[in-house]
This record gives sequence, structure tokens and C-alpha cells, in this order.
Amino acid sequence: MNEFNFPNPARKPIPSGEKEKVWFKIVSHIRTVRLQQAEQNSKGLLWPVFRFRKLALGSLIAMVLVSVFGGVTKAAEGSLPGDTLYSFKKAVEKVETALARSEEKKVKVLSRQAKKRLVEVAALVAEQNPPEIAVSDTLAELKEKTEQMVEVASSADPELVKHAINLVNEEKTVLSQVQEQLKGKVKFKIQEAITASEASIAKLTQTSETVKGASEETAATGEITEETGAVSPSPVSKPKITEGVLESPVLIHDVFKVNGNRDPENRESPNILNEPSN
Amino acid sequence: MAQALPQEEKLVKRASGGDETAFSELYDLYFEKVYRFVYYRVNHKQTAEDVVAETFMRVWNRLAEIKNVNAFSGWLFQIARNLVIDHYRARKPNLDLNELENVLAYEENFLDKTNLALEHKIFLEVLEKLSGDQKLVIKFKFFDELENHEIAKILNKSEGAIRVIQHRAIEALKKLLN
Repeated sequence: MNEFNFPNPARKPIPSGEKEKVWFKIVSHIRTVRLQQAEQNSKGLLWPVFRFRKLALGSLIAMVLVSVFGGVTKAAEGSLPGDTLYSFKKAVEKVETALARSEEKKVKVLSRQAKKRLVEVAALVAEQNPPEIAVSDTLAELKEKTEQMVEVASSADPELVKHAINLVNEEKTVLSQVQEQLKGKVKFKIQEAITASEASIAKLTQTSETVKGASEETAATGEITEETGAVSPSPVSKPKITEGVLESPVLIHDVFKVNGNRDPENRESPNILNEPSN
Repeated sequence: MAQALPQEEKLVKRASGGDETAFSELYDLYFEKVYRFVYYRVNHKQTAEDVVAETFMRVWNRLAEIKNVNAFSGWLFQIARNLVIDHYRARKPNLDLNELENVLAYEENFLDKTNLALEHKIFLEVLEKLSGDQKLVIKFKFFDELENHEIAKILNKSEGAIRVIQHRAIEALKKLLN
């Protein structure tokens, strides 16, 4: 009875399952918001200005597939481990990886996928009771993608090395922030991931220094062409690293002294330095 | 203003801090009322699901801004009603807002007519004879089982005004029924 002393009329019952169905939509929305916040909180990659190449047929096919399944792909973007669409998201990533042929594309794809794992870890950890297994699995994948990216970037363009370093530094920053909020096994797993990031940074930094050293060496020993005055790469072979020591085939007395314009001070008679005595 | 139950007040505070468990408990508390409120106005199961989901999503997005935890339920129904209005306006752009509640023939779907007692049918016929605000208040109180503070929030009136309208509506109903 209500306050009118009038019996409430018979009502149709709410269909069963409606409550859970609506709740599922709400939870998906909450997770998407969390993912977006996690992405905004991370500093954001400085994507290199990649040179655009002609699309291979494989990429074209992939684009067609994505446009056909685009709606599902978009819906899957915000999914987390355990969600229905998460396996679809991973399947799309496998296609992307398989289609990346050049080193540049591989680094780009692996960077993007590593960043997605990072955002997923942050979103999972932000949940009330972070699922340990899902966090551990996602961290393991983050480590795998990062190591793959580091491997490819190490043998690639110095610009790619630089941006790989930026990504791994960002990973370390985000994981360190996330670690502060945790306890127990999950915290330990995050620490392992941070250690792996530091190892990747060290490897990339060493690669970067090696590449820089090699390019400086090339500039110092380059031949001056008559017509342009430009420095061409030296005909001698590139230096190699043996047990951390840079071995150069260029003899000391073969070095030209150059002025500020990178022209030799005396082209007619090179400045020959005495060989060091032991 | 009516006081929210202490338990509900705690849930709202926790949910406004991002506590998903607290928010799910609020959802459990209010889902049925909100669903009926919406379903018996939009007359379509899928639309009702979407509107109810959207209602709670908006609540989640803006819960951190809530200043008065006691106003939570009124605010919740206000959002739900606005979304129902948006739904109708999308279908009929020139619909007069004042006539909206009269257009909503929710009695058709809301009540199981086969079980409707004679007195209920008479009541519904008499209800239609009340003024706009009186009809709304009685419908919100009787069919949607909303509290005065919730109706006040929806209609953007004070609780005192709602009590006055309700009183006059009941007096008018008594006369008509007699």
C-alpha cells in the first residue's frame, strides 16, 4: 500500500538478465574511461616522422579487413585481459606484426603494441582487486614486445634507436608510478618489468653510442671530393667492436686535420702525426 | 530535504572516489527503479537498456562533482528523465516538453492489464483529469515510487512545492473518486 491507501497495481516483471546485461555495458564504459585516463597520464611518445612508403599489397589487404571488421576492432580497442573482445584485439595485433616488413614498420608496430600492454597494466592495476594473473601475463607480454622492439631497433636507423629509448624510458616511468600503489606479488612482478626496461635502455644506449661513434669516425676519415667539397665516406672498412674496444683499421698517421668548414687545413701536405711509442 | 540512508551516503562518497564496488552496490540499489522509470516511458526494451546504461555511465563520469550526497537519487532520476526526453526529441524534434509526460502512454505497457482491478482502471481514468503538475507528481509517486526529494530534483521545484502539489492532487482525486 502507498500513502494513498491505494494498492499498487500489478506490474510486469523486469525481464531476467536485463540487470546483468546493462551492468556489462557500464563496466565496459568504466574500463574505457580508465584506459583513456591511463593514456593521458603517460607522457606520450614522440613518434618519429617516418617516411611514408608505398603500401604493399599485404597492407592493402589488411586495410580492407580492418574496414570490414572495423566496428569490432574499434570496440575491441578498449578491452582488457578477460574481456570478450580481448582475444580479437590480440588477433588484430598478430596481423599487424605479420604485415610489418621493414625494420621501421616493425619498430613502429612493436612500439605501439608495447604501449598498449603498458596502458592495460595501468588500467588493470587501477581496478579494485587487480587480477594477479592478468597483470602478470600482460607484464610478460610487455617485456616480450619491448625486447623484440629493442632487438629490431638496435640494428636499424639511429633515429629509431632514439625513439625506442624514449619508449622504454616512458615504460619505466609509468611502471614505477604504478608500483607505488601496489603490494605483494603484483608489486614484485612490476619490479621485474622495471629491471627489464633498465636492461633494454642500457642495450639501446650502447647501440646508440656505437652508431654515433661509427658515424663520427666516418666523418673524420672521409675523403673530400673535388667538385662539391662534401665529405664522402672513407674507403676504409668500418670500425668494429671487440670486447667493448673500438678497433679502427685507420692508422693515426692517415688522419687529416680539418677546419671549421670540415675542409682539410692543408690539402697538399696532410699533417702527419708521429706514431706513439710504446 | 529527505536524508539519504547512512549506508547509501557512504556508498556515494566511496563511489565518487572511484570505488567501483561501491558504485556497483548503488547500481544494485537503484537499477530496478530506474529501469521501470525509463522502460515505461520509452516502451522498448533495447532503448530502455541503452538509456539506463547511459544514465549510470553519466553518473559515474560526474560522480566526483556531486556536492550533496543526499541529492544522489534525485540527480540520478533527473539524468534518466533528461535522457528519455532526448530520446523523444530525437524522434520528434518539435515535441512540447510540457506535453511529454502525457504522450508517454506508459500505462499501456506498465500495467498488466489482465490483472488490473476495476478500481485501478477507474483510478487511471480519474488521474487524467488532474492538472499537468498534479498528474506528474502522482505518477512519479505512485507508479515510479519516487520520494519527494527525487521528484523535486526532476521537476526542478522545492520539496515544499512538491508536497503542496501532492496534497492538492490527492484532494482533487478524492473529490473525483467520490
